[in-house]
Amino acid sequence: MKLARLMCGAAIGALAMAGLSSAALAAAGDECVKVLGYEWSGEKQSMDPADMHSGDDAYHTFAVYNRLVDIDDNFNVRPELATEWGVSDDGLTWTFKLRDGVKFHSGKDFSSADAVYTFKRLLDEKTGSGARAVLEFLDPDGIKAPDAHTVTFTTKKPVVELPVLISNKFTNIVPDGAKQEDLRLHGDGTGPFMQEEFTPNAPVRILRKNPNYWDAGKPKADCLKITVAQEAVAAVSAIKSGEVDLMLNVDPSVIPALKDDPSVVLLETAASNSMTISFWVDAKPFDDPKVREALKVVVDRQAMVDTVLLGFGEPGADNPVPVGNPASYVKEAPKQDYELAKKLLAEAGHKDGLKFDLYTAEGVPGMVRMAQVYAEMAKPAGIDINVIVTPAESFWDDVWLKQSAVTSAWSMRPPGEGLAVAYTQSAKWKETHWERPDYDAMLLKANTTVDAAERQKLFQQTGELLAKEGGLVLPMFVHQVLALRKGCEGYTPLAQNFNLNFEDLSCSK
Amino acid sequence: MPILRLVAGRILLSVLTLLIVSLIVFAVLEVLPGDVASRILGRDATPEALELLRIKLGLNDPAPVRYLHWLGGLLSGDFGQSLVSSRPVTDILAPRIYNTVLLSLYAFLLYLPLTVIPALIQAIRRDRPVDHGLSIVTLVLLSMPDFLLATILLFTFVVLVPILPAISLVDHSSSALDYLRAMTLPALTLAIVMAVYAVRMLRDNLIEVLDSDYVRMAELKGLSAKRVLLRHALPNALVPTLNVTALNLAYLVGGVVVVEKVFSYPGFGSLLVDSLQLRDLPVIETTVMIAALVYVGANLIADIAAVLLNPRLRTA
Amino acid sequence: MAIEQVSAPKQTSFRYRVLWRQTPQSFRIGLIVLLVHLIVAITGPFWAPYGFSQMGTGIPLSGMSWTHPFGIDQLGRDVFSRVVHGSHIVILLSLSGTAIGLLAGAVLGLLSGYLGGWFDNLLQRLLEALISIPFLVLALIAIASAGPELSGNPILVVLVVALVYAPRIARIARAAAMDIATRDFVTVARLRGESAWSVMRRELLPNATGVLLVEFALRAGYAPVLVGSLGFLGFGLRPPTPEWGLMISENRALIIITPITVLGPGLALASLVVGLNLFTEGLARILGRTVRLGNQ
Repeated sequence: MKLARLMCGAAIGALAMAGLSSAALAAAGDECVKVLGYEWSGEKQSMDPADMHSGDDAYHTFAVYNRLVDIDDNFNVRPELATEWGVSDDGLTWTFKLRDGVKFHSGKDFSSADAVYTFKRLLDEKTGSGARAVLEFLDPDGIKAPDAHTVTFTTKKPVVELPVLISNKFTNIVPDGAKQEDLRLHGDGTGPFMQEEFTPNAPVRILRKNPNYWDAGKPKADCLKITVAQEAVAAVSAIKSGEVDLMLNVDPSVIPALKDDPSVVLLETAASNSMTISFWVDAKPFDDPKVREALKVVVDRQAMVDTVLLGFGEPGADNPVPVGNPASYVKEAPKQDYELAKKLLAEAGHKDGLKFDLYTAEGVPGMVRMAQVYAEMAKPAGIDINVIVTPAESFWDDVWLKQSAVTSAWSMRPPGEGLAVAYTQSAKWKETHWERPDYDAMLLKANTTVDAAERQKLFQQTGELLAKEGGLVLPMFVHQVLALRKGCEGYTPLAQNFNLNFEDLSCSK
Repeated sequence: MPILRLVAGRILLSVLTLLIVSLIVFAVLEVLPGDVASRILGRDATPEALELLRIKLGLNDPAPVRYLHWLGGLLSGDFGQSLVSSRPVTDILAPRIYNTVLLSLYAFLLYLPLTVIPALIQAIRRDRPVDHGLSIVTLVLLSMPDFLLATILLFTFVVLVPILPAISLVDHSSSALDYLRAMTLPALTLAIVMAVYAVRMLRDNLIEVLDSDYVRMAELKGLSAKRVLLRHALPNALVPTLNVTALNLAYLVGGVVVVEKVFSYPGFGSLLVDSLQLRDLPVIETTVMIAALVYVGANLIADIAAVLLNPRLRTA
Repeated sequence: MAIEQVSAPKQTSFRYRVLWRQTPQSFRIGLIVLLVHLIVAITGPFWAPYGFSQMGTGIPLSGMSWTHPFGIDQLGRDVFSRVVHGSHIVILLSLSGTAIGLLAGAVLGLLSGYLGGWFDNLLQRLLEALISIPFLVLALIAIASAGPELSGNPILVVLVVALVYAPRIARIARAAAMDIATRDFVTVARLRGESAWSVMRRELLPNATGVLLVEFALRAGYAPVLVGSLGFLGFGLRPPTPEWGLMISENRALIIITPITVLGPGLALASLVVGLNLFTEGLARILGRTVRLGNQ
């Protein structure tokens, strides 16, 4: 029995020890800045930029690698590994001058061969990267390295915004010749942080400061410790207690818990991801433009933002261009109008109302809520929507492009890309089955117009066409909310939420 | 020797059971609809890439061939590679099993006083308010789903009275104390769930033993009540509780699934849920087999222990 | 003459009252709790203040109040109404799942115990194997293998509950059958040439009723937790179904701001299980058996 008593004592002792060390909450010897993510891809995690399966990979990829150029919230291009760029007179060849004296973490010198290799492998179907779809405008044979510090992109047609378009979540530069199997577990980039500890599916990733980073004086932090918590309560408690320093996404439902906390600062991005309700324009009853218009006009957009995003968002105008952007065709989002909706439905022959199924899943946070709110908002107009919730992990594969009414979400893209990615005839993901040669022509013109003001006008026209006649209801753009502990500084969240820049981040203890 | 024959027989039966489990697991999971290849490559995959992957992973072979291949692998220690990351399943499982074993040990450590102390109190003060009160508490906790209990504990000890960490930010540079703190809440949840199950039984057994002649004799002999209780009653009452403990171990293997998820603990249970969502077949299959192995193993040990301790069962 | 005629007390009601007083207290309390749940389940949708998916019932994330006893969730839905609307779901799923499991398990177990031989051996191995897989794990892989189209289908949940319980019930039924089969009247029936199926129906089943009834109550007591766990992990019913486990899962992030939105459905679920457990214990005691409550 002594053994039993001993064990009882040990148990109580363990509990006591665990509780007593509450005062010293910070783990010993921890100079790392602790970052908390929210997306988790488990075994799929990879250090290969071509893999970017989920937002989870961005946490470390964007710290370990660099791209040729960087994009800010207004889609202005900034130098990163490229210092200058320009286009030929015929608009077909873009030339990028590359930075000198940059080294990969392995010690290898960075040169144009690496850039060429990176883009070619992204376009190679054997790599199996999702980049292929978004980089379709590039011609693999047109990517050349005339000398060690220059890389050129020659396209078949002029791509006016090429520098913006080659800067997406996949295009971090890898060393020439690096193999997928190696890169997956051992990242080798030119970025501000080096891989110190990384195993797929492990709870913590540790990245160490790159002492030879080309931007002298950066990064400010000695190291980064990245972890993920999908439980909102755990995440909020972690930032409140100082267990983590930066929380990359605060779920709207727990924002009130942080709003008044003196030790935490909330950061908000500009218009980021958009959420949509997309209909096939060639399927009944959505094939009638009046029906589509009715489906759009029942939404009280601000109310939806307030309910689903708790106010952390902005109303959208049924096209991928945010309302505040110069390329937007309206300065204000459309308002709810039930009378108009009923009138349109009656004119379309549905005076007794409409009934259909809407497929959704929690593919991105809030999507199911949006579907439910939409269904409620449609009711007074006589539209009866049956919301069908499917499993999140198989939604994009099995439901998204396969049903005539689905919810969807898109990350923030420059207008030229955003208006094309799902709505041109050659789009990879034709969410709405929209096929309009006049739309394509308008967009092409916009994308090949050099004069900026003229280009904006063309984008506006394209956007207006899509908004008025297209099959998507885009009621809102999300504003991502992040939390940073007081005592930490140097982090600016960007609308493209995979674009994580930890260079200036530092915490004073 | 008859005992050896008995033990060998039991072991053989257990192996047979595991074999059938493997058949069931393989049959259930290989029928998994949803193309594994497209799940791995994601929504951007081309049909050619999908077919390449299918060939590479041998997904086009007939099912019996794949089963035998897999079974052979299992028996020789080759658990295959993750379909998602191509890492060996052993590499993926090892740290997770380690974490869950630690968690289970810690849970068991907490479970003992959580069971013994209330049961003792209830037995000593039987039918008094304390006894009734504890019975009610036990009943309520018994009826509460473990995910609810976990959520409440998380809220209480992390938000209300923040003495424990919210997430397990431990790596090899963390101290043992950090590990302990990260494990406390999930271990406590598991311990409570197991304890309430055993407290009632231990209480009843204790009362039964305390009423027995054997104990009465000891009391008459003049031994102090406390000595009677601890030295005589408790050991006798604990023996049938051993059976309960084996069952608790069985619960543990399933219970960790929910508890690890709530506390984001990187163990065996959360690996199972993750790999189910990713349709990572080799990991799922191996994980389920290990869970069954633990259950069968625990039962085997309990059976053998019972036989060894109780001669009457040897003729069974 | 005005003689007051005192009528004799009604025989039957007096008897019932005596019987009632003889039942263990646990049985009585359990029964009352269950009745309350049943009444709410049946009548609830008629008097619940709001619909289960009705939004805009008030300010989202506000706490307890007289008009909203369980608060309001993030979408502005009244949690109390949702709990009330959802009560029939939990009860139906648990009871039907356990009932089907009981049916399958009892038939298989009784037959197996009676027949013996290779059928019994084979079945025993199979049952052993099924029981060796922890029930939550078995439930998860069964649901995962059913595929995404069936996901969220209540029938799938019912079948999975049945699948998890049938082997365990079969074991008990088998033991009961083996015990009953030794009795004389069974031997007589067999000598008479009755088929196994008939023996099972006419001799075994009636005599095993007590055991099976207790088993049913026992398993039904844990079924709500199993269904809730599946909902919590995301493998059960889908939103906006007001299933209690799913609600606890959906609202668990809100526990910081309005804990009542989690504790409300939690209380409902726990009280149902408490009622079932008490009822089971009481029933067992009436039938002269002992039970072990919990998560077998």
